[in-house]
Amino acid sequence: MPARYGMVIDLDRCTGCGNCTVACAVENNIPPGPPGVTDRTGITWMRVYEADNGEGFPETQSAFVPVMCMQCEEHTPCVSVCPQNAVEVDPETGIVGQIPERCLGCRYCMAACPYHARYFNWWDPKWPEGMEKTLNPDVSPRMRGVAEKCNFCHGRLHTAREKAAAAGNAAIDPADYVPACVESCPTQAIVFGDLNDPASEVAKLSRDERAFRFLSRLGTEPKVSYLSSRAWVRSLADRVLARDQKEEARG
Amino acid sequence: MPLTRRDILRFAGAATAGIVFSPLPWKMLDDVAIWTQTGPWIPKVPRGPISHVPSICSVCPAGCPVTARCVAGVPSSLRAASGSGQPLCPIGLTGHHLAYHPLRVAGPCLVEHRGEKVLTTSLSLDEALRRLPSVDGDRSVMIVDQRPGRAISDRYRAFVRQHPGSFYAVPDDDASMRTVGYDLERAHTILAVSTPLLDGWTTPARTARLIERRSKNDGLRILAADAARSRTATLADRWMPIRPGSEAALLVALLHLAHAHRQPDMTPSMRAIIERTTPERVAAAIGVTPVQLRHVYEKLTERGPSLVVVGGDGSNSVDAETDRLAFQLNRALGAASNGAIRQRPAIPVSEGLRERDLAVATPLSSVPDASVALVIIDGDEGTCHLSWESIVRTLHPGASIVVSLSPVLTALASHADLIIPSPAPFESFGEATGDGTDIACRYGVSRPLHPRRPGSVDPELVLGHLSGQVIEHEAALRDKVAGIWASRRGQIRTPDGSTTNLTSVEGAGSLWTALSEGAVWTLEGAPASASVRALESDASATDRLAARLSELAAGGATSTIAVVPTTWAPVTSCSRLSPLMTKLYQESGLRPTSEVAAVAPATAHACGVEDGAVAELRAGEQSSKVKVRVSDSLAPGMVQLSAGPDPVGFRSPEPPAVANALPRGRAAELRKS
Repeated sequence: MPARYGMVIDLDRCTGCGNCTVACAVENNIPPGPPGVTDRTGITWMRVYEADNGEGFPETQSAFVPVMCMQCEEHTPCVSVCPQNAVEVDPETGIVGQIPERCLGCRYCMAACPYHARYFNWWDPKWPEGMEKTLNPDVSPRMRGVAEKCNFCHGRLHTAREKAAAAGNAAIDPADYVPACVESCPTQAIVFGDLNDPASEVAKLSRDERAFRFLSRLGTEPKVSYLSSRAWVRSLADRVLARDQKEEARG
Repeated sequence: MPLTRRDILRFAGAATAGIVFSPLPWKMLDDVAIWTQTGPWIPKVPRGPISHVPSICSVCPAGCPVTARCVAGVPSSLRAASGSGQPLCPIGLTGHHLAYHPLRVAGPCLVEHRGEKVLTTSLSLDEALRRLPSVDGDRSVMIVDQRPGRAISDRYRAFVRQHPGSFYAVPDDDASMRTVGYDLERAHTILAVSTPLLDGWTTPARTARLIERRSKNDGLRILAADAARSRTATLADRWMPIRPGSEAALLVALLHLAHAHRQPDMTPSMRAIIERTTPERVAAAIGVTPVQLRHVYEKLTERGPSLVVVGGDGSNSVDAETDRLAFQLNRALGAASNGAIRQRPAIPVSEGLRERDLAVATPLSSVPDASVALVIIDGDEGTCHLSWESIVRTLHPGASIVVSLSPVLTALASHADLIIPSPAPFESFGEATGDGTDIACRYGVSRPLHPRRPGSVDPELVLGHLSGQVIEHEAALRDKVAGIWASRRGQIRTPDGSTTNLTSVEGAGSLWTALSEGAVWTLEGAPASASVRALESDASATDRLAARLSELAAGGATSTIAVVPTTWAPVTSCSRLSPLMTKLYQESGLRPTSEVAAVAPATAHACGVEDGAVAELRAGEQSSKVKVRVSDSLAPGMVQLSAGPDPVGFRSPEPPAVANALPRGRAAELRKS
């Protein structure tokens, strides 16, 4: 059976430290933002949002919610809108891959993504002088004018496959393929693995009673789930739905 | 059949039309796209043999074990050493970028201010050293060491001891509160008073263990008393909003409930203050009810060991008196006797030096005004914010010179007269002296991972020029390691997590080898009762405390608002951040920049400012342009500012934030700009 990689993120453990965001940028050769960059023009494949329960002082409660590409399994919106076939779902892994060489920069995928998890290169990648020596040799920098997103650290998957092949194994050792955000999370809030392996921790956690997925009503079957024991945090998944219903009611 | 001209033209036309329907144009488009995406202006990734080098992170004193993944000998990433169980923070994950910091100082240079611009003029090393004044009996020198306990610290102290009237100055936080460590793992109830306990106050490993314990419901309870809804307040089990600047009053009220005034060794004046500070008397000044105060005290005594942690975010947040009160409250809660707080031992001095021949550290605030002719600011940053104002007041009017050894043109270095840059982290052997909140002292050595920049100069060389005794940097570190080995105390912990007693290590050479391969030496502290005398308040401190409590009680409602700095502790003092930190500050908004001032809707209305407006924040003589963010989650009457690096701090050496220079609770005005 082919793998079906996914993640489970425990929001009760996330402290919003930003390790995942930074580790992702280091691993995937995402350059620092140029002067004037904002949260709308910057590139953070893994972005941590602070959400609150909507109450005023002093009843406010907050949670940190890391959001990346949810690796939608069904009706993947970015795949269906791309005119260049620059987005593909790998049948062997279930990972939604972005092929920057094919991308013509129309940004349809960004408009289609319900999670706002896709980013556009508004500038050519540029590092301070000399810092390009510290780039990850397994990932090519992308040019201005193409979209990009989380691919579960595809470079690490290739490295794991090479290691398995060198050892004469057909399958990779799960310990060899751990995305940078998972590896760097100090509180181990992010768990990664094969959802098709019922014995894996990620598969077990994704069936936990605390588990929920964002925008599951869209039927895209995201492969990233979240955990929280707080009811208001779990309700975040439906909050957008509630807002839509209100808007529909208003016509 | 003969071919006619018409046939050829027909064939050419049909072929041209057919090409459009063949894969060729699309393939060409693809190839052109690929070609343009691999143009010479797109940086190329490095190629070469890949190696994994064990070391420790020396960007901050904590010294977390790392494994550097190197490509052709240059690190491409730093990861937590597997098996160590000690994750890194974002600063550590990007520590290998600092050698390429855009504000890196290429070599010795003179600094000149023209208006708001900072200009540097290059010098040769000989010329720079010649500009250092000779140190004679009349000339007082102050060496500012932001990271005490290193090999060079011992040399600084020896030099100062030999020159009477000179000072070996350390940040106030290092001089006072950082002599006590907290055993967070042992505590069952922790009260964090204006402390970013879960936001970089300690190492990521210790924070993670707290989160892990809580997720396992092992009974750990974290209470936060903070004016603003800081991250720790957000993540705590219970948040008690208090008025800005009322930390001391809160602690005195809790001391009253603990009957601390009945302790026999309490000074009479302190006993009187605690005795009269009943919860009913100060609750309103703190911004809570007496019932809430009693409830917090009950929680602290319900399930021990309990700990009270104060300050330590490096942003001038809590003064020494408040810190002493916290110590006394911990003692009253039994933390000294049950080992939850301990006196952290000092790291042994270098071989060939004796403790009694070294100068004692002077808190920077205790150095007299206008008393120093030469200031040397060491290049390694610690964990406490150091303002230029705290240094400039010590300068002798007239012929004084400030020399910075910073490898980067930081806000502090930009005020110096002369910069003689030391190597950046991972360019030469670095040192880590341990997390300032831990119960154990530590010592680790980070290996050079980058080729060293030619213009950088070891601080030992600068000191050697003044003292006449030059020692190589590596030799100084080896002496330090030999001094540790000679103490025969403590143990070393290797990157894979195994531990060995120092008595089992064959010699100083073996210890050096182990440390330079990522091991860390640790020595746990003794129960803190031995240090009680040193931390008790003196008479003047008690008077200051009484005056502050009276001032707070009389404060009431004012027309001004109070500034509450919120900090991400590791970066409050750190000017040396990777350019990649734009991901957290600008590109995601996860960390607020120092330009954003958050206020409650009522406060915004009262000040006549709107969400998104640019306003002027004025506190005393300090003023700053800020962008207003109106937030429902804040209490009225205060402005929450992020103390830390400038959002574009890696491009400009300008001072980072007005919040860094303001004490917590300082009254301010916010008006439309």
